[in-house]
Amino acid sequence: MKIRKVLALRGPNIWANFPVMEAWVDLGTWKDRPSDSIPGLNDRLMSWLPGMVEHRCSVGERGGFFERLKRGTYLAHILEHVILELQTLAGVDVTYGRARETAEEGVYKVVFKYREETLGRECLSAARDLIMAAAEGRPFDVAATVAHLHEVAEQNLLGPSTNAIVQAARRRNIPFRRLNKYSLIQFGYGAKQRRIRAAETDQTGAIAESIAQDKELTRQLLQAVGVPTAKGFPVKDAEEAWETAVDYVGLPVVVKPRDGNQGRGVATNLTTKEQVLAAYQAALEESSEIIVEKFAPGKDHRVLVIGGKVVSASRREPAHVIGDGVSTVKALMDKENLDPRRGDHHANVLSKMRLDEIALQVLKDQGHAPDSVPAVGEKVLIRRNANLSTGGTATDVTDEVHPEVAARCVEAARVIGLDIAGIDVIAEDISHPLEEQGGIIVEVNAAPGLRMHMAPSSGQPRDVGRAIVDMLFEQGNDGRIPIAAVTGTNGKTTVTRFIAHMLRGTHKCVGMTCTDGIYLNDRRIDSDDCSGPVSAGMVLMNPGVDAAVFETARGGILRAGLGFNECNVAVVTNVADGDHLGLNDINTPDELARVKRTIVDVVGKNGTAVLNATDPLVVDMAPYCAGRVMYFAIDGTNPVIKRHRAEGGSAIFVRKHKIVLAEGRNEHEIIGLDRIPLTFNGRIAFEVENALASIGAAWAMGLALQLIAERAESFATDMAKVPGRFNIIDVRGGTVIVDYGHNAHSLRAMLEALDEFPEHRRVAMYTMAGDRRDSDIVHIGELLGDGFDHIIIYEAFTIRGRALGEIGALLKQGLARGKRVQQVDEIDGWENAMEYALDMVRPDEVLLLQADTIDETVDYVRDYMKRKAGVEVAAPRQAVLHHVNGVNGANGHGRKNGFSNGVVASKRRVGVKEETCRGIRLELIVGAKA
Amino acid sequence: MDVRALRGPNVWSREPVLQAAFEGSAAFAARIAQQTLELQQKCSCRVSFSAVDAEAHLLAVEIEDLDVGRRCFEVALEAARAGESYDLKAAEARLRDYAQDVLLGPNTRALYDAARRRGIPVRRLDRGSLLQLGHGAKQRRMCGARTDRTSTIGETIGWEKPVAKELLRGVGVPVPEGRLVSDADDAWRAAAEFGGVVVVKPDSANHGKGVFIGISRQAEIASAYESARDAGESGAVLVERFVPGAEHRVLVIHGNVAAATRGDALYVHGDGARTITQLVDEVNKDPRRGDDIESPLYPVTFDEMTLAVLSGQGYGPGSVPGAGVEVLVQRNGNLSRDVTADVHPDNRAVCALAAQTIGLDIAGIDLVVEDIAKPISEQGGAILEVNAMPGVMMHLRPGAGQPRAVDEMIIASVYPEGEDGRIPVVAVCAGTEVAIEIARRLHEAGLCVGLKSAEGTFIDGARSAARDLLMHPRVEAAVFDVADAEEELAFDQCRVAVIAGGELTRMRRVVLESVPRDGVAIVASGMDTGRHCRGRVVEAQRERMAEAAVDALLRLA
Repeated sequence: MKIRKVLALRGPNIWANFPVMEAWVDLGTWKDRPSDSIPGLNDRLMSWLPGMVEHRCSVGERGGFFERLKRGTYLAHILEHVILELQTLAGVDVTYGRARETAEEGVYKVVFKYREETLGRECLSAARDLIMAAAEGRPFDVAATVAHLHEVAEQNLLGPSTNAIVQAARRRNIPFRRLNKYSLIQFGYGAKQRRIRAAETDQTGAIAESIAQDKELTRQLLQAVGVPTAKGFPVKDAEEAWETAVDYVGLPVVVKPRDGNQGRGVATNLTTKEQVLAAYQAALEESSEIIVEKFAPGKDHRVLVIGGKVVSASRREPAHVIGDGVSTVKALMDKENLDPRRGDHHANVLSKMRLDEIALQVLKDQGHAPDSVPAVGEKVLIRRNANLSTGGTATDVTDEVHPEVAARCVEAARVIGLDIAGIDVIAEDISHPLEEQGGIIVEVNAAPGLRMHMAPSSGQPRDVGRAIVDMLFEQGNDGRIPIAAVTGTNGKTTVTRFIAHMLRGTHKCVGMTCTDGIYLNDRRIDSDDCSGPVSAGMVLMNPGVDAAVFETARGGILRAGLGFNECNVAVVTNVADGDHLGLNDINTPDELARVKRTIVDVVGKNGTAVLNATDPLVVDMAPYCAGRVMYFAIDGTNPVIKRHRAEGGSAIFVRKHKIVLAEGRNEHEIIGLDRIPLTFNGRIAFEVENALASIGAAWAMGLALQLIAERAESFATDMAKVPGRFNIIDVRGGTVIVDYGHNAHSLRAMLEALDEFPEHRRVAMYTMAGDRRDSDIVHIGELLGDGFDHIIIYEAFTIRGRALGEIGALLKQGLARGKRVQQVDEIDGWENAMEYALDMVRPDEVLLLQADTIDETVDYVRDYMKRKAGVEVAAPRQAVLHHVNGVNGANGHGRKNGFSNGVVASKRRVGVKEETCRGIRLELIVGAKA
Repeated sequence: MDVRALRGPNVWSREPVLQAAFEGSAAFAARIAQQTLELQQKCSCRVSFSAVDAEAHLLAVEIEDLDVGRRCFEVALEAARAGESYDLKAAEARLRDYAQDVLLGPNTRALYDAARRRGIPVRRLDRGSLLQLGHGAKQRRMCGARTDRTSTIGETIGWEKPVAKELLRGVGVPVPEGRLVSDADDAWRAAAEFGGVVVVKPDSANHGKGVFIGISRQAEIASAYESARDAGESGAVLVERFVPGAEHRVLVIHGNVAAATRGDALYVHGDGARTITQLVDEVNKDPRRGDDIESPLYPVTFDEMTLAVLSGQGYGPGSVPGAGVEVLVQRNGNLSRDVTADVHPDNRAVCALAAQTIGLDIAGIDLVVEDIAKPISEQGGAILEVNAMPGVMMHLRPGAGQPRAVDEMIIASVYPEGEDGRIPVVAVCAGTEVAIEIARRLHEAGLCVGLKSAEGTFIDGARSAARDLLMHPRVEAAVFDVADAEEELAFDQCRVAVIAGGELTRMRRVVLESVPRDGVAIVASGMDTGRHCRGRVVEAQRERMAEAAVDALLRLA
């Protein structure tokens, strides 16, 4: 059993609306061996992973999966269950899994939910090893494997505090994304984003943190505003520490580092010179400056202030044991450490007690040692400070906090300047004012631990994650910006650009991703194919962006899922036959439609799916939309539209050369086609459809009709705006059309459009990418042969693994059947073909340049025009801020040269895998919809 | 001698003074006072006042910093007592060293002064660079070019280079593309990916060891890979696009580019005899180079970057370049030149976006580009770092070009023009009842009022242990009951002073002098305030004083 590849689908995907992993598994020689035919396999699996008895599987009841094992099932299916079980054993309880055959015999896609990618991958490979051992009758150390996976989980999962905040955000449908391996999290999108890192927010000031770190300055500030604190002073040496203790502060005292964390180096209730001197030395380990202050008797409390409010309080006890008259201190500690809540890490509710230097000293101070036996009921302290990280325990006392105490805590947080603060309060009874009982605030902590509040060892747990999220996002704000997603086989880039153009009428900064790159308004910041999830993620990460439009191509959805988990509008232009079929195990138009439907699946409750009424596969997506559906078609009498309107639904169509938007019976005339330059006065049918879809989407996003009309008028296709999208250029009186279309559907639409042009003779320069099916390439050849008089075919870097000449041969096969074609030229290399085609265009001709690489084609035509005619074609393009390939020409094979020798060019396009191409390895976690 | 500090306005001065009781002759006291002043001045303290009150047997010397002032005073005293035998020079040197440690550094000092020029009250909160600006509810804090709005997350993202790079790249800010490579062949492949000319370095760089800058040939890259692998701690090697051009520092304040400087490259010229270290020693003799605050240039040291630059050219500190050979030592080691006016609008937008993306309100951006007057993207330039707490001196005092008042711009980002961070302060020399009544009336007018009186401190009528009302973040107005016996004021300015009838004592005069030009003094009918009050003087009956004070205050607000 081999794992061919593993895809992490980090956003909504064809399987589910939450992240899953998709492993392509080749069963090899095991493909014909169901579980019941492999001796001992089932028994071993059932004894190694008895927890799988809980897996109900298709049987639908406890023990269901074991039942399937006995009946006989394939290893891929077993793999699915073992992965889920291993994740569960590693502490991540996930239950979603699928195992599906691919078109290739013996190769399966095994899909499983995961929470963290590294752990998911580790579980997959461990599961494979386990199953192979079970199948081949070899021993397997299940315990060691689970222990290892536990460790992986510990290292990679979010810590409990951060996770609590993330889960709270999730419940409010606020999207989140992990920005690094640690706990840096972005909540929300674009301009509405906020960041946290554990219990710090983007408004936690660096100055406030440094003040909180400085215990002396903290005390001074607290005193300045009248918050009760301990009397204390910084001291220069151990002798001065003792003098201060006796002469200025009074015994007993606390000795602590001026700056320190988590109670390290703090010694309390010291009464003898020996203790003070020792404590001074110990504190020096943590800080060069030491403070001596008056010890305040009382219980140790931690009060959590968030956004100016006390949200939780707990009473903490230092690590201690209670004697039984028989056991030694050590034995009592060992026993206490058996409590399963106690772990070695912060991830656990409680930490283990440790017998370290400090503990030995504390024991000694009480007249004990590790091997002494405390009396029955005697309480022996292991530490003096009550931090959970040093083995302490916590009891929730939130409801007992006296309002005056709460007021002091809020004031303390405020004077230090912290939005989230953990206030250490010493008081005998927190239900009375501090001033009455000599209670004090000893410390104000930035980035306080939350686990004692979330999971106190006793008392009511408090949803402090929620409090933090509520501070960051007021009620009603889910951190989302308006998002439109566009997919389909043809027209999606134009629609994407058109929608973005209209949104600019109401939004300051519209982020857009499409096959030409990433744009922020008109500024292009990337020039690759950016129709995948990583690009969408970049836009959503940009703190300036306040609305986004994403062209969403099938490749990205299959490879990594969507880059967002909810959209306001999803537009599906069409699902043409033949394009990209045969890739990624997507073999039929129905399967392709399933892929494209993914964006409809994530339309929010108040959102809209804008669907093509004339494409049955698109119409079939309607039931999957949680929001409303709007149909578009040129013909308003389309039966789908009529039925939808009869049910009160909305639609957009053309009547009497005008675009009409209808909601049930109500109709609004929006704009005449003659006023939308994109449609060439309505002559080009597919552009009319694109305009309908775009305008429908803009309306669904709440734009006013008047504004929509204005923006539609100003949306032009010229090479500056929409490179490679049906651009028309006059070359010596001939009509040159540059278009990106590269499949049968777009070619047919193009031929339809060409009927609107009067020129008699038609020439096409065309190639096909090598990753299309043979039959599709032949079919294109046939269409070209039917539609053009003269075809120039060439091959470029897009041969994608095919042998040279193979694509040409297939095209010619089709061309041979063409009814119109008179002449076929095969030119070696793209540049030569361009030169040849542009040289020969005549005034009575129309030349179609199929631009598979938009930038290069447009640049080339411009350059050609300049060279040959001295004419500047259009305004210079927007600056490209970010070239993937670095400095143009710096290495001697820049773009121009690189093109002809294929080095740079092939790098630019052949491997358009976003994740690797840009060196981006952002961990993208798009939370599933709650 | 009994020595004490008077930090607020006092009978001697509006500035803080050290006051000492002396025995003996006034001339002796005057000598000590003068000596203390001079010693402080030699320590770069900005002080100018000293005085002796022969009658009261008191001397006073203005101080900038209490600890520095006190030490200078002790030295002056000791020197005066010891006479000729005292080694004053050595003592001075010790004092200067100490002062350099505890006085504000040049960056914070510039901001401190800029705030003072705007009339904003400033005080130091610690021995570092922490400042409180303004009072009460209007207070803000700064620490160098870091404000209380500077997010700690933003600062750490700026330090965490991989995350910063990903975030910046994500929003389209050009950064040097790079990746870890697995072997020499992979390094060569990476070089091709990143434009041919690259930097090869250990993932964990260690003092410039194994850093190779601007190399492009396969053999070079292969050997650079080996060296980098061996030099680093982890053995991991990073290949990054080499960014050609000059190093610039762009200061972004609240989304706007405030200033930009270009660091000029520093070269030495070989003579075939001396080592690079010797040639650099020569450079360091330039009187403009020094470690102290006043020198416009730092001495050249063989730090990580310098070593990397040298090794990129095949040199080390001990190499002897041939006669006439020009060796680049530091890409930005020479004078910084102001180029603020040249920055292309696109580059301004990119720098602002970089600061915003990292999450910093004030950021110093390290930008490498050939010509900052053209878009970075057209030249393959890149942003290398986004720094929190950037220095301001290079903009205030660039080596060449127009100085930029970025200190004022930073202060303006904290307090917009027209705001001075002050809350209304009322000083009452008319008895505690009047003070209480004023506080009550102000509270009724909707303000959170702090009252400090002989009967204690109150906030909104409730007794409080607060020691410093002007530091309290809730207090919107403060009323101080000033007793005649006090020696210093707890505030530097009062918008309204209330003086009851009777003698115009020294302390009452100090209070009157604390009324600013736009303030008001409410005084007993017929009182002669002399020329002590710069503000308006309004006479009132004692029982009408509180009302008049509150009216005046609310009208001023």
